[in-house]
Amino acid sequence: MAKRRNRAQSDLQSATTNEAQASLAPEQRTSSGYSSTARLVLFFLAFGLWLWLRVDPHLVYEGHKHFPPFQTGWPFLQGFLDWPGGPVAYLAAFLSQLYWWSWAGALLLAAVAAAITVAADAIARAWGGERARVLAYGPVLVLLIPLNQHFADLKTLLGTAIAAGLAAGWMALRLQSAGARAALGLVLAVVIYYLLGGPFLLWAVLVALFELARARRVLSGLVVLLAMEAVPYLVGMVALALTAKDAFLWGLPGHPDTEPSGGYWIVVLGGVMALLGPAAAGAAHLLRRSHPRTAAPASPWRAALGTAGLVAVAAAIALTTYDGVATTTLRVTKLAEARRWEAVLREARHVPGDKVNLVIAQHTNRALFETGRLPWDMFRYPQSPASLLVDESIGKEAKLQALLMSRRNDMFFAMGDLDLRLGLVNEAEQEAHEALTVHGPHPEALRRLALVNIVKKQPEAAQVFLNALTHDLVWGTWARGALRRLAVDPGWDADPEVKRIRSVMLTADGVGLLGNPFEQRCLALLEANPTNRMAFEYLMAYYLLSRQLGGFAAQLPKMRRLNYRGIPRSYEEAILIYEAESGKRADRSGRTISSEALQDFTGFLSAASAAGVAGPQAASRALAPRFGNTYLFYYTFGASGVGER
Amino acid sequence: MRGVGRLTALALALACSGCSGRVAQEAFRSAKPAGRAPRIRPDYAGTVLPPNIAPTNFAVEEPGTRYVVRVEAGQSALDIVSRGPKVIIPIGGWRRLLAANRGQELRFTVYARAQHGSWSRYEPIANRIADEPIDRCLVYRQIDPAYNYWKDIAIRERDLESYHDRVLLPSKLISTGCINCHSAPPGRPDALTIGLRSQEHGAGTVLLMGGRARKLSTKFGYTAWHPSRRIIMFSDNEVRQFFHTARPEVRDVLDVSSDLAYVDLAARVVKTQPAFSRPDQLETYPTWSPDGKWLYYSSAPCPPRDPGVFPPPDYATSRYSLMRISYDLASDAWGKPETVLSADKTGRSLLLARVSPNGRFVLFCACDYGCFPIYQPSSDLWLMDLTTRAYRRLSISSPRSESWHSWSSNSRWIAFSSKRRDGLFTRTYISYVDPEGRVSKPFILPQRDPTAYDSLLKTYSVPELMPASVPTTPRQLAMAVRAPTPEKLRDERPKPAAAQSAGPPADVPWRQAR
Repeated sequence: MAKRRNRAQSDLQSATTNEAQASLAPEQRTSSGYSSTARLVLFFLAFGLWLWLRVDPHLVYEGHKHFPPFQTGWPFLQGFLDWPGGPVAYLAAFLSQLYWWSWAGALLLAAVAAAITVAADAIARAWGGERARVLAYGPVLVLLIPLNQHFADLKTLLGTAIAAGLAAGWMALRLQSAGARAALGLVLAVVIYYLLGGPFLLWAVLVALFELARARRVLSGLVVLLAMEAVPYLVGMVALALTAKDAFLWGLPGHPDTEPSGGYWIVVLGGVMALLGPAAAGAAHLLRRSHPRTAAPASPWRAALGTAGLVAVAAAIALTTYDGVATTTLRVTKLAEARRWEAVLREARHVPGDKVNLVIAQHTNRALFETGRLPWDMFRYPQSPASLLVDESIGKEAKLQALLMSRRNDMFFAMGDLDLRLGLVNEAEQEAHEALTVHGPHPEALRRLALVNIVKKQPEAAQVFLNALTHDLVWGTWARGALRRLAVDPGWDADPEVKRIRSVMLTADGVGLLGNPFEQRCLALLEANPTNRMAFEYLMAYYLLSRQLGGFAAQLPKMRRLNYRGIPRSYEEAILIYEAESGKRADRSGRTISSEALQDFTGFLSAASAAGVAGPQAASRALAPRFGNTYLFYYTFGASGVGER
Repeated sequence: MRGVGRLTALALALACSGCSGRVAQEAFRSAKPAGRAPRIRPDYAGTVLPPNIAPTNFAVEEPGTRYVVRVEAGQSALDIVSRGPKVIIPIGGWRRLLAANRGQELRFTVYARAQHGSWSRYEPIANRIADEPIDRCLVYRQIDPAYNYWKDIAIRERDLESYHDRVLLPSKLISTGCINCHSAPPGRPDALTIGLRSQEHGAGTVLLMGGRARKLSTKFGYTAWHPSRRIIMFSDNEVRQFFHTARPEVRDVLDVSSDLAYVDLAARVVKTQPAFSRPDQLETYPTWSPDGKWLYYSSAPCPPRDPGVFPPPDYATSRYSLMRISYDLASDAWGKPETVLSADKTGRSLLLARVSPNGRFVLFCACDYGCFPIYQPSSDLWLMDLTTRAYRRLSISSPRSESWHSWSSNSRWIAFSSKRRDGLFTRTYISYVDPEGRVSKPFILPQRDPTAYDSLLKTYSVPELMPASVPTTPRQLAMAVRAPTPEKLRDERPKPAAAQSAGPPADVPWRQAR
């Protein structure tokens, strides 16, 4: 037993220190070190550039629901200190603020990825010597995939990087005494568990594997292996009374507080890290058998070729796993938040119809309204009855209810903004409070709540939200300015946005359940203020999308108060359909249908009857190029935005 | 080496105190009168303070580069020198000063140094130190201003003599379940009940008693312990939430059904009485007289309504009267309900009655309608003298919601929730009540950082004064919540009512978010 252990430790010595270096002359060792450093720098420069220019971490800051808020001061920090993993979550929340500056966010993520790679390199060397270093980039290639998909849970990434780094540090320890190593392992297990939470398990797996399988130090290996189970149990479950899920899984995929999307790849990353050591040992063994120990070091050309190969693999992964729709969704959200409506429409125009999700559709319709084109151009974009994102009637079936509520969960911010602009101030307040509860002191929720309370002439409540926002690293200065303004003008009476919202907000109180039918809400808004153009256009859009042309026709007289020049194009088409189907004449508010609309209507009818012989699908395909951007087409085939643009 | 360090620290401390002393002396010597009292935040002026309360730290809202505050009462004084406007009063000196001067006036005199070096002295702010102490602990619930979702809720306990604030039960220990309606027997915090609603752990009640915590399968609503601690009275409410579209407070709540029931802990049985579980009445908010012979509660008519229409069109006409019914513990016999104060007479909905431990007064909320005063900006505190039945609206009520009041065990203090600061966040306020029922100007629960409330996004809900700390730990309570099998009580209530509480874990109207 002792002999075997001695042999293993002797192998280990040779692998970690002497084996490869003995075969290299000093100048060759330096050159090898330079080339690996150069490879690391070059690779992560490209990695960072990709993240900066394509993935754009700022999008995560603006639009990602899992983006962690951060506040300066003791009360916020205090909430992170009483549970395992709190410290890394606090650090991650702090560092995540760098995402505000896209380049800084990219730099941060590249640094975390580089740290994982350096740790992986050290682990590979500890197991397989210099020959095994080729495997060091394996984990980061896996990591690229969730990052490409805007994985925002920095605490998990940091936890993984720190766990791997500490494990690599452990492998380089020169402490020989078995008892001392075991004792140190136990102490470190407790400390690392407190700092990292769930990612502690990765540290424990890496260290236990190394001690048992590579260094053959049974005592310390078993102690760490035991600590992997015992520490979360004793510290987490017994001492801190956490649930098993919180004690073992916090900070890992599968835990409710960890971002679900991309979690699979984080599990794969953990698996790759855990298998890295044995794989490195295996690779080194194979290489030793195929090449003698005296093999010449890699030439600069070979090293460059290796780097190029690595970059090529990374590029292939980056390009194939890049989630363009997610990026567009986040970008559209960011542009909408910045009120850059034309840019929203430009982005939306490039999204294929089948890729348009509710977020893109809702922001597109909002942009169309803000640019005065909703009743004219909405069918130039893909639409569905849910595209307005306002039909929140909650189903009675529990499963459907949960689904709808979870969708709301993602949509609090967008919904609140829309509600506020419509004049549904209390609903906007509700959405923002839900966001605050679910997502914490997110700056957008705090700004919204401050604005809502200013609009409602409750400056003291607005002050609380603005005071809280002064603790935000990015928005603190803005909040201090807003507070100064509030001190001088508690109503912000001169503010155009406040004025605009106050001019359309409901003044007569009513009551309703969550998800009061959208139709009722718009009608109430129009009753309070018949010139609420947004309420009118959204109501009409709702009728058009749900094909309720009776309701649509009933509201047409309200056009009189809104000073349209002529009849908007989609309304013209809807009027023609309504009149043709019902045999009734719609109240056109004294306006006439344009000759183009009449001509298109006739053309559509004859083309539809000609193409209809071949069946609805064939008819849809045949009519799409000419009529795919009209309400006529949407009403008939349920699709839009499929015509020639 | 260590000795040198200690000496250095002592020398530094002495030097600093000498420096502060010089600054204070300079202020006292050269200050010119400002001719008015300073503005301070929170408002600790003209109040009565308990002799055992933590320092009422405050921020001076007057311009200055340096501040000196003299805190004095009787012959004692305490000088505080501050570079910023936050005045942090040393706790030791404060305690000694208050203890030595019970019944005396307490004055804060603020001196502020202007940019150019001259000092101004503001008129003293006067408060009074009461003779009678307040109960040492305040158990409360900390929660976001919740609508449909909840995430971080905690039942916490604040030591009023210091700033120590500990968690009794955080929701994160129980998979973010909802915890509410904590209640302890009068004057004795060694027992406690906490309502529980969780998708994972079901609906029920955590009962702490005799050093043991356990989960009961019956969910208690608003809870009241009989002084004997043998009987726990509770309401069984079907609560539904709805929203207002244009009034300042968005949220509102209505009880669709509501009855009273009680648990006989000795017999482990749940019972009710036809007198307070009438199908045509909504009975809620039970509370006992200190002798345990009367149960006070609120009751409102419950006309037949279309279950498909919510809220019912007449929701704003629902008003509760203040009722009571006699009880004999020995024979478990109930008398007949009698109206203490009717909604018709007052035109208000009378809720949340709490009888003072000396039995003299009943303090309650009066609001325009409904059963949930915390969501009613019209909710005020009213006081009835039970010896004369005279009642009045307390002048300490603000135009915003007051609710969830609690008496200290000596009947001299009340703690209550109020939204008076901003209309949104409930904070805990404390008022002195003299033997004749005169109530002093309330002051906000002091915090170490006097600006803590300015940016605090959580609310303080259901503040319950307790004479001592609750003898439990988060672990003990969490384990009870997570117990896989709750203890079942024999339910002798008529079937329909029993079926209501035995249903699936209630998760409506509020939802957990995790």
